[in-house]
Amino acid sequence: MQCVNCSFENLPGAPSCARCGSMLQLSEMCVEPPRASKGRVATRVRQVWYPLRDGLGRVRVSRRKLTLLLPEPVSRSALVWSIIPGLGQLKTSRRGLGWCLLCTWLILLLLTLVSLGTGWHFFFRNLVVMTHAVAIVSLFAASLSYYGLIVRALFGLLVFVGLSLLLYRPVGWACSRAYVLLPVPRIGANDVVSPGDVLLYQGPWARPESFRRGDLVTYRIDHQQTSGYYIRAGFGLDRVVAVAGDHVQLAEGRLYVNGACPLEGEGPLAALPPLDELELDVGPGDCLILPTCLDVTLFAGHAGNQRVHQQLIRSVSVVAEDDILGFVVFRLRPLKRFGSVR
Amino acid sequence: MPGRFANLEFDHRQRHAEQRELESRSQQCTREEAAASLLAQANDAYHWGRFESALRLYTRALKEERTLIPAWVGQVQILVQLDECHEARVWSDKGLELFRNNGELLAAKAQACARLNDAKSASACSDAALAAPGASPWRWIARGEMLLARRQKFAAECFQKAVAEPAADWFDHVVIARIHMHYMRVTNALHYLRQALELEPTHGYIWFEMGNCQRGLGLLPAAAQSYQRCLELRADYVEAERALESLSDGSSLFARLRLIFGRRRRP
Repeated sequence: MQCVNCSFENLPGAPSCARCGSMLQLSEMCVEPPRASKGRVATRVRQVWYPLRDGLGRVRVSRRKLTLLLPEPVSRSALVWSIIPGLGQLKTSRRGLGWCLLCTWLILLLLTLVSLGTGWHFFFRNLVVMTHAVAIVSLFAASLSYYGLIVRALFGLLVFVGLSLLLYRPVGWACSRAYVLLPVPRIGANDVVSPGDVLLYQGPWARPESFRRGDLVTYRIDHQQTSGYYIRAGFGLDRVVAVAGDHVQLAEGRLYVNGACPLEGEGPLAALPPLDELELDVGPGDCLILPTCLDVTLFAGHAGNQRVHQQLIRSVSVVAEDDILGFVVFRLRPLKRFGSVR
Repeated sequence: MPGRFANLEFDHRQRHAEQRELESRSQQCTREEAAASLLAQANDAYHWGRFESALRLYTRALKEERTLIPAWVGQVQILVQLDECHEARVWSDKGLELFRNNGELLAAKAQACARLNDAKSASACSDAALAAPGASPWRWIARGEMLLARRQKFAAECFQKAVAEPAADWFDHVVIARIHMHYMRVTNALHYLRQALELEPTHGYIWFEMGNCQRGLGLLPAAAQSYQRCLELRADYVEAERALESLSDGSSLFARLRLIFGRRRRP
């Protein structure tokens, strides 16, 4: 029996060629090809399965190299170092690109911090994330060259969103728990804080347990409305005048705490409210903060009413320590007054 | 006693044997002729894009002559054209059981694997096809398709090499054009069809394919002209008539958009 493929003379009755392995029993062979069902299910399933199989086969995390669904391996240490943009490139001996990315990122980060409280902050923050994303995507450049523009763009977008959600948002949230940004839009005239200032106050994680006299604090004000005045819910900003156990007296336009005038830097930020007389003891867990800078709306006809003023001041100035958000530590804007507030 | 010369006197037996041999030879000849004729018909049907009838004719040719490699390759190619890629792969494996390491069959299997997105097998089959003895445009076409499926830049070079082969004819250009159409590279397909027209300007199917390309590009008047030209060359070509009708039906904006964006579907 001669093989049709290689013409080798095989023994009669042999099922396959001894030389090339081709089938010899031609008469038994079916020549009708198999046909697909109408939906081509087998073909469609395999068209999805084979790329998946190839992709899964590439996920190999070894000690030195991390291969992540990509044809070219990416250095794992470079990826880890890329928590700071540019360091991954410096690790993989691309010094020029690494330094360029690192410097750009640092400059943009600085601009982001400086622009806190302005409209530019959002823009610079996104540029920072974008620079970081570029640094990471450039590590995958060799692998991404195998793919089309859409895949590369999607990968970049994915990295950007991933960094934004998994790195920058958590870091931003943690920072806001430690120090909180406070833009001051409207405030009464005083020497320390002006309208338009952007301040930083201590957030819940950095807030002290108790406060001292003279601490410049921001505190929560609840909505209040009586027959004479109306206070909108919001935040107040002033110095702590007296703490728990202190006796406060306001007589003839002068303030006395425990019988003595407060020292300089311990009194209210602005001039005292126009009250004839006020006397009270600060209870435990409370502080006294005279709302000298508070913008309060008085109803018509009550502007000169002493009783209404007294009622207003009593209701606003005694603040529970829990309602104090934190003390103000830093001024970010205006830039010429950049620095510590205390 | 049978006699010791009994064995020498076998004239009549010898005559019978010779007669049987002659008969089997003539039968063999007629079968080979029939197979060749069926193969030619199948190729013709394939060249006119009538895949179902081409597949039936290839099968009939194989029933006559099971060692007809072009029929095996043709069957696999047509299964791929009919989008039955899994079946094409199974069938190419069957063919390879009979013809181990046959370059044409390996190339056909590479094409089926490429259409199934099985890049590894496609690459391996294409490598084996090129390493197998012999050379043909089809092997380079399959190689080009494999690279095109993986969006690699050397696909164009492979197609160039295919059409530069001595055995290359107009239909190889059409095959390359169809591959480009499959991967939505319609302008490249048009380029190869123009080359095919230079080689064989009187074949209607090239004009029909050109019409499909132009329709895919949204050049509806040009497509209509191409279909018209196809019908001039072969008046009974129903597919061109249908395509022309669908073009004339597609005068509304929605139908035009459907024609442009639904270009994967062939008439």
